[in-house]
Amino acid sequence: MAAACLAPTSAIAQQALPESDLKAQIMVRALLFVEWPADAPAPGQPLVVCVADAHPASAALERLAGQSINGRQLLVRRTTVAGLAACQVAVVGPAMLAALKSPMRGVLLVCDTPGALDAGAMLNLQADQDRVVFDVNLSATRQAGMDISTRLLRLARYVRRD
Amino acid sequence: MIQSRRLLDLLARRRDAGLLLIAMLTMAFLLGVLEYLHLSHQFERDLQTGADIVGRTASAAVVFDSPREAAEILKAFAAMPDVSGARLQRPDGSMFAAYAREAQAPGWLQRHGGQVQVGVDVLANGAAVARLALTADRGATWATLLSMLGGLLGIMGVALAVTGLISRRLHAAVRDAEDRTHFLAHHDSLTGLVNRATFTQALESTVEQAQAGGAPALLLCLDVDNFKLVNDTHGHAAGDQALIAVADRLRALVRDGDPVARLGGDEFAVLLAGDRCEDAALRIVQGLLETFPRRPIGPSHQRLGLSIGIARVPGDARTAADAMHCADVALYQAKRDGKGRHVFYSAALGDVQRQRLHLQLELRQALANGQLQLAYQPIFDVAGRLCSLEALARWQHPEVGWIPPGEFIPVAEEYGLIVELGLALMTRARQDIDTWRARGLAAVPVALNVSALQLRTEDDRQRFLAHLATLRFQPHEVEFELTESVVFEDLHNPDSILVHLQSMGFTLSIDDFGTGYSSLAYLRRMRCRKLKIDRSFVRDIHIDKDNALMVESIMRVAHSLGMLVVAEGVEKPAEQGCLAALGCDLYQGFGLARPQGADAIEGLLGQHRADRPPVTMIEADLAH
Repeated sequence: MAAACLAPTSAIAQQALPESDLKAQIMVRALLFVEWPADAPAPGQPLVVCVADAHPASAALERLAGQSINGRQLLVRRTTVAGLAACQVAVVGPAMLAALKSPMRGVLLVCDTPGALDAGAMLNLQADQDRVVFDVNLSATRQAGMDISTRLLRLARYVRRD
Repeated sequence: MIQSRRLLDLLARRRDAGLLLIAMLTMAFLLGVLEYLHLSHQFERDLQTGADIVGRTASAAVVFDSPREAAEILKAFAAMPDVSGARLQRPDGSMFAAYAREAQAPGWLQRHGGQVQVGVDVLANGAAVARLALTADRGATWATLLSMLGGLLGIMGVALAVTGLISRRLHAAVRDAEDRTHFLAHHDSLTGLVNRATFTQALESTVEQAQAGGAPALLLCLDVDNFKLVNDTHGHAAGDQALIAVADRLRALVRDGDPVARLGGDEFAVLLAGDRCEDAALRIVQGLLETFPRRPIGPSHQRLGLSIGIARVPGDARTAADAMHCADVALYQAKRDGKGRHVFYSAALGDVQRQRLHLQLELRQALANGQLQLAYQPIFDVAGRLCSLEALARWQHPEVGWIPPGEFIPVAEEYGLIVELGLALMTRARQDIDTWRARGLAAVPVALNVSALQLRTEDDRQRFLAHLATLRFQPHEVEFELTESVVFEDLHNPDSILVHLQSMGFTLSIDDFGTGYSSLAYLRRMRCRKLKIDRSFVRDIHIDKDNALMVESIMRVAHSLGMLVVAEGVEKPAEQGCLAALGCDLYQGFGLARPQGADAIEGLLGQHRADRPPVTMIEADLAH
């Protein structure tokens, strides 16, 4: 309910990067502040980010693969809806989001479509003027067995908590 | 002297207090240092914790490269009033965000208390993404420390004040005790007069000044006449009262500052210095000898007489010891002259004293060499038969010849030789009796004189009895003649030697009756066998009706108590006749026989052998 009314000016946005790269970078950095359920994946296992083939950020994400996120290697896979359950992060477009019947445990749904939060997205990136801001659906995230650090929440434009 | 002691005391006390203060301040300082280190450590830890929390919160802002958000987070330091500023820097050193407390006028402590810096790394994804550096004022630490020290010093101050109060009281008590001790060390506790040691010091300095041409001085030595009698008859409390009365009288008579001392026992001394000291001395002499004896003292209403000996300084003596000696000699002369008077020391007195001293030394030698002998004066009964011999001391000096007893007995008494003399004469009597017996002469009892000074101490009494046992004297061999003073002193002794002698069977006679106490009470109590009437009553008894009356009365009393009466100093046949008519039992005197040496008396003893029995018969008859 208490929406984060802060609208941080992201310095990343000011860099001369294409929007897809910018979004990919923000997605990856946000992962630093996400907690997955204790059982999956096991510590030391790679952190798997699945992305639909057609997603604009897919190429940019793949370029970031191999990074270490809190001690876990970042893997980027291109998948279909059927393969999403095996991922820790699913970067999906509106069609794919609509195709998902119910939230999957342990899978963070990331979108960059306006209104996606209502459709079940947990982290939704938006371009706002020349910046990229994000909204968080904390309740959906928690229902899926995950949590997001308040440190990140402070930076969100809007947090849904109901 | 007392003032300087007090000053030293005060300084010592100040020093003690100073030391205590320094110790307390040192303790406060050390506590302060420890507390500072502790507070400082705590402060830095708190800052570190604060920085840590804020740093963690800011990590996302750094990761997302959002300085605005970071600056917002740094505002959390507003809640930590000691933090004056914070800076969030990237690893390359560039400033990312900063916080500065809104400027207020800094207090004195803030300005002078110094600052502390702490820094923490802002971690994200396992690496430092920035460094947060805090700057804080130590002012609060100092304020805490100062308030603690203030409290500590306050408590110490109160403790010090309380301690000071208590110690001041203690010091006062100790000082009072010291003053008392000091007084007791220099004064006589009974009379409050100065004691001998203190008086001697004063005398020494006065004599020194007089010697150096200063004012002349007079030393008065005073002695209470018959003080022993006061103690004996009225008890020691009365004796003490008498001494206090004398002390008070003396104090009233001297000028302020003239030393008055009780030298010990019943001896007092006064030192008068200055040109008018002769007047002062006369005033004291008058005040003590004329008016004082008329005043009864204490509940027993005793009247006290004093004898005074006076020495002039520097006229008579050049040292304190000499002055003391001269005054003593004069005092002794005053006593010999009949007491209750004063005598100034003179060279002639000194000569007499020296002669006596010399005589004393010779007497000691004579005692050691056995120069003392006995002369024997016969005592006859009314029929002229020899009944006993009175042994009289004789000193055959190898150079001077015979020295009369009137000369050497007082010397022996004065110098404490009377006990030795008595024992030596007993030994001599034993020898003479043994000699007579060896020559077949039936000895009559020998009467030995016993002086009061011979039996004064318990030790002397024991020696006397031991010697008597050693010489194996039997009651038929010796009798003892006692002056009234011996009887009087012995009467009060629970361990009476006279009772002891009587129980052993020895005959006792009272000598010189009528000149001393002449107490009928002790006559009745002691029940001596013989009473010797003093020669002064016997003289011209055939003419002097008073004497005759007196002797008759004494004889009546004596006879009714079962005593034999001996008349002393019988010189004329008329006297003897009168005495016989009055019923006198025994006679002694130059008119009958002079004292003779042990050899010379042998003739008389030889004659006596024939008519011995009747004597014992008379004694036996009258004893019942």
